[in-house]
Amino acid sequence: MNVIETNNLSRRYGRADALHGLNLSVPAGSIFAFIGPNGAGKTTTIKVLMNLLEPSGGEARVLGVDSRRLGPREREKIGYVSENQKLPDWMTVRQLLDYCRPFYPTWDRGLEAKLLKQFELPPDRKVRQLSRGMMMKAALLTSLPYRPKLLVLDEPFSGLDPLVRDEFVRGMLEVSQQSEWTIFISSHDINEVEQLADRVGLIDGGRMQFAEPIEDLMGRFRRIEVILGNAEPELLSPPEGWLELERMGSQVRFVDSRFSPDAFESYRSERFRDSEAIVSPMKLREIFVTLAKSKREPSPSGAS
Amino acid sequence: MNLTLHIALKDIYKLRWALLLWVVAIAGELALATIEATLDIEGHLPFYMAAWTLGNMFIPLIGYGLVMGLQDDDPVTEGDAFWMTRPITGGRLLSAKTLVLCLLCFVPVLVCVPFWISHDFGLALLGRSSAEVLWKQILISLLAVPLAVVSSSGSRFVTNTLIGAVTLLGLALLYRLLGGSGPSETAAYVLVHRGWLILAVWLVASAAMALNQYYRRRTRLSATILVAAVIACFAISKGWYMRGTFQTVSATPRTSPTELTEVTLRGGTNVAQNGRTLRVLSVIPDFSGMIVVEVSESEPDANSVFPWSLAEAAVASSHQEHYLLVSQDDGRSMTANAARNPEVLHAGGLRYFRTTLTFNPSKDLPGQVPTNMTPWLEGAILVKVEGRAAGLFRLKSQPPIPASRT
Repeated sequence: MNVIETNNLSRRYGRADALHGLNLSVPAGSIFAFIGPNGAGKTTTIKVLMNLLEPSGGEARVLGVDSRRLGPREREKIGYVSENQKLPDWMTVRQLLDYCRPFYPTWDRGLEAKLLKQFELPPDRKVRQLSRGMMMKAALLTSLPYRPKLLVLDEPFSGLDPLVRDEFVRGMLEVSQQSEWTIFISSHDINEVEQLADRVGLIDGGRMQFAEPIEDLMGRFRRIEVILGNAEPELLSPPEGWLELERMGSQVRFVDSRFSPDAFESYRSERFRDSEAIVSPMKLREIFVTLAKSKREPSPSGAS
Repeated sequence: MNLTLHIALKDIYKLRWALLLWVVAIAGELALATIEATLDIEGHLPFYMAAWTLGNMFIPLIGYGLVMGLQDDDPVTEGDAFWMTRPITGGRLLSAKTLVLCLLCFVPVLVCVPFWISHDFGLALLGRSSAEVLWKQILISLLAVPLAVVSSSGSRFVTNTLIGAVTLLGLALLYRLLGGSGPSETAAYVLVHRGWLILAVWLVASAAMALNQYYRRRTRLSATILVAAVIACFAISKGWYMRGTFQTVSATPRTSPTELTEVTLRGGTNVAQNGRTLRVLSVIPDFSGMIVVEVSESEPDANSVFPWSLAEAAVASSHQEHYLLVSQDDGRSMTANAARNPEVLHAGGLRYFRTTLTFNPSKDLPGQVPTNMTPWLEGAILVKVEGRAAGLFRLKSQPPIPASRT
């Protein structure tokens, strides 16, 4: 079952399209990293999912309900933390928790106390007096004790130092151990969510580029360096999926986004005779940089 | 606990210091006015000014700001306000805010009631005084609500208020430009009905904006409603009036009248005397120690025993030849500032003058309790001509509160 599902979702601001027919599926129980550069449409997507914005077209379903009809019953099962969210900053941390508690029938005071201690938040300090990192932790603290089925995090790590980020992640893992949930986390930096997520989706220019398990993604991307022999290779029509293709003297380098050992060996013996190949796995960050470049550059078939 | 009440209590807690300041200001005004009333005419002015400033500027300003303070925590414009991401519906939030807003309107009444009771106000007077104070805060809230629901923050609310004030000034200027400099000719009942209609339009617009923002958050639509309401109110005030072609009969001063006719001080009272009628349009006492009595008076005809109208007296008052005063039965009297350019009205085939009389009993009658002045406004409206007092009508009100209580 998909906890989040969008179908041709679009959103327009005046004449500018922020989302173009976005199709996205987030399976239950997954930790989905929603990656994209600044201005790609991540926050707009999340706002539509949370019914903070109405879609201009298409449909978004969250926990099986049309996002436009999200009511208190669904929101009792959703946690939301955003870098842009304005908390009632005149309250102390304790007052904020006291205020939020009655809205959630499943609120666990034991977990609340545990997280409060773990996050090292001063309960009697006003929210406006908290640092940015503490404020994000306070926001997370109000979204975890009721054990939400879905936790939506919009750029939660933006501007946080590694220590706070680590505490933040540990807080989520604390709940994760005790209940099954889905986390949908957006970020413009893959490094921030690489270790946390098991699925990843890339959005760019308001369009979903791909979404798949990280394991699959890492398995199909390889950086390949071919040291040519005497025979001249045929590079005018490279196979589909080869990116960043370039030739430097007797070397040809490229990224194979659909790597399969058998298929590559067959191709090499046919087109790169008498050559040697070095096949290296790629880091997730490298994969995203390659993909982002490939969207902005002409087809690799033009490489020499 | 009921979640609506939970939200309301949160708001009251948030506003607690502003509320306290408001209560202190209201109590302070009552205290200042009481002190003022015990002083003679030379000493009362600083207290009068302080009470006036509190009552007419500071207290309404806090009352206005509290409405924004109430809204500020949970903005209903587009965005990701905290409440929108929680299990709180727009309807529940609106209910909580309405509840607190109603409580806010009652705060000034609750502060004043003990003071009124300590000054022997009867039930009827308590009710009337409460209604007056309540009405004032309701009007202030009605002004603030439409701006508050389209403001995303306190600073935006202040900006919107300034824009609103400039717009109103512009409209007032336009009103004058379109209306020329002469007196308007509008029947008294039209003026009253017009006021109610404008209030109704504003109320409907405010309600529509609040519902739209809390349930749908279409801020542009709300802004359109607001602009439409302002235009509608302006059109009603400018467009709905009556013109008449009644012949003015010249009047010659004669001798003074020999009798006075009682006029009950209540809006809508009509009396006739020697072929002239007088209608009390409204009596507006306030906490600054002033009483505004708006009356319309038919034009004296050629046979009237006393041809001077209140309006004429008002216009001529600067020459000190004749002026208005209210004479108490015990011989004390109050002067009245009357509108210099009384409006000419037409109704029921007669030509009327609408005059606004402003009395300041605390100034003219020092030593009296200076709140809710209506009981003191009893006596005859006189026009004095060259030192000779000539009665026109006798105002009848409730018995004054015993001076021993002050």
